[in-house]
Amino acid sequence: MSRLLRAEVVKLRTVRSLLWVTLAMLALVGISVISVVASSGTIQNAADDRTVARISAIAVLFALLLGTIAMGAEGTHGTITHTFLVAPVRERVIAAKAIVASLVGLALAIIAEAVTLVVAVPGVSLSVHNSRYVLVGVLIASAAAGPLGVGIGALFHRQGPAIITTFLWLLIGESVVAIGLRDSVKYLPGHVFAATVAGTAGSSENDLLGAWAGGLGAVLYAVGFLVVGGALLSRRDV
Amino acid sequence: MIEVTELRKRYRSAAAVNGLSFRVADGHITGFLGPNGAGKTTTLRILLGLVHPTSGRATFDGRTYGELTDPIRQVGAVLEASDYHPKRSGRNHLRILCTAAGLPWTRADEMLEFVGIEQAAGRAVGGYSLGMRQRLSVAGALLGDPQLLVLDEPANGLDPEGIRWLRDFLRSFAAGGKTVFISSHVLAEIEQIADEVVIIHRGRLVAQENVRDLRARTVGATRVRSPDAEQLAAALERDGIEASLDGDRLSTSAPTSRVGELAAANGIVLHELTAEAPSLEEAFLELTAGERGL
Repeated sequence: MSRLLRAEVVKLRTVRSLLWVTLAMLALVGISVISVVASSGTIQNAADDRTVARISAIAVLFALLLGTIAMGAEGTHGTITHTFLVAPVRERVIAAKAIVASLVGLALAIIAEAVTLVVAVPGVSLSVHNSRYVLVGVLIASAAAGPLGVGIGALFHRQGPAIITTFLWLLIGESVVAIGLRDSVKYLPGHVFAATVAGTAGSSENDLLGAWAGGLGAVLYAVGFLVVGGALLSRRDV
Repeated sequence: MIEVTELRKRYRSAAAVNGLSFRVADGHITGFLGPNGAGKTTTLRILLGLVHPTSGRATFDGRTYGELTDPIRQVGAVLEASDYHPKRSGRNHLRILCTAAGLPWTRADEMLEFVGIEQAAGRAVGGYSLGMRQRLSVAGALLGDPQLLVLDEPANGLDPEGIRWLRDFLRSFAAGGKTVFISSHVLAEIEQIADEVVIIHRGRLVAQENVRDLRARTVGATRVRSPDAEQLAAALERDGIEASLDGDRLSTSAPTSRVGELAAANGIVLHELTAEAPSLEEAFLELTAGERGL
């Protein structure tokens, strides 16, 4: 298994996707947190602390994107044949990709949080203590989003359709589905991940689960998509 | 030994492989022939664990590809030349395979040098010619120093120099007692290197024979050039022999001895009387003619 893990790391290091995703995330987090600092004075209460800290949750989306690319690109470019020729037990390949995507997601979250804190602590007196649950939630959500992306990539077997469908769901699909769901809306994936990074106990007003329940839900979504995507990929002819 | 037993693969309503069985002995070059759509690629991909059979088995020494420990050290595979990340360098592609197989990265450079593309090793594969990609595929297949090579149409897109390089390489590989199983529709190439051929059509086995025996079974042609070609054609026809006429040239499946005797008996002057050895292509066309409805 360690060989496959190292091979997945080499795959990520030898194309520029990782670099571009990291730079794009850094730019988005940087611009967002600097604009908050520039437009407001100091933070008044714990809710404001959490709102500012939640800027680092941008890492979750990029972890999802990178996980999807890590799996979907193999189908798009056909490199999956080489991968399966070296490692014919496909479940092991998917497991290795999920572990590496989780670690990369975690690393992206740490970078995003570091940028947020470096700018916002001196800039708007952000309280690390008040935003600690948000910061932990971003770490958990990002670590789950990477493997979730791998599962989605395995499901579609092509990075383009996988990325487009995922972001269409998050931007439009989930809102449309939520209209008919009422109380159950908090169990939809976007809401579950939002609850994970919310850093609060959750409430019926914002249709979110509590942070810990959200974290558990995020992990379950990642595992669920990995199992379904992995099962499909194992049966797929390549 | 490669063993394919009652192999079947259906894609919805179409059968790509239909009850195919054959064996490939160790230590030889075996050609895998068939027209386009015969089921060659599907069979090879099933053999390599990339495609799941509907039924039947394809094994290496009794084990499926998925059951092999460290398969890259036992079987090398050369498949589609387009299966590369266009932005990744050839060297890095091989390094990934080395890492996954537990081989040192130096092996990647050795193989790049062996296949003659070391000068392009650091360039993105997207900029490689088809021939360079084929060589990269061969380098990848050789990383684990396997005893057996499976190649799917490796000569596709290669220039004459590339084809010659491939032929020489396969000969030297097999000379070491190793096994080569190579699919192709370039019959002349296979004829030059293969000891035995497996011929399939519409997913079924048509023939499996030694190349020499297969040619011997096939009727060769007799070519004649004569100023009295029309008279000779008539004489052949009277003797119940079919012949095709083209100006002063005549072609028939009758042996040269019979044609010569008839020409002498009828006082016909011959400028040329040639026995053309049957080629693998003729044998192949003859064997698949029935299947193709000809």
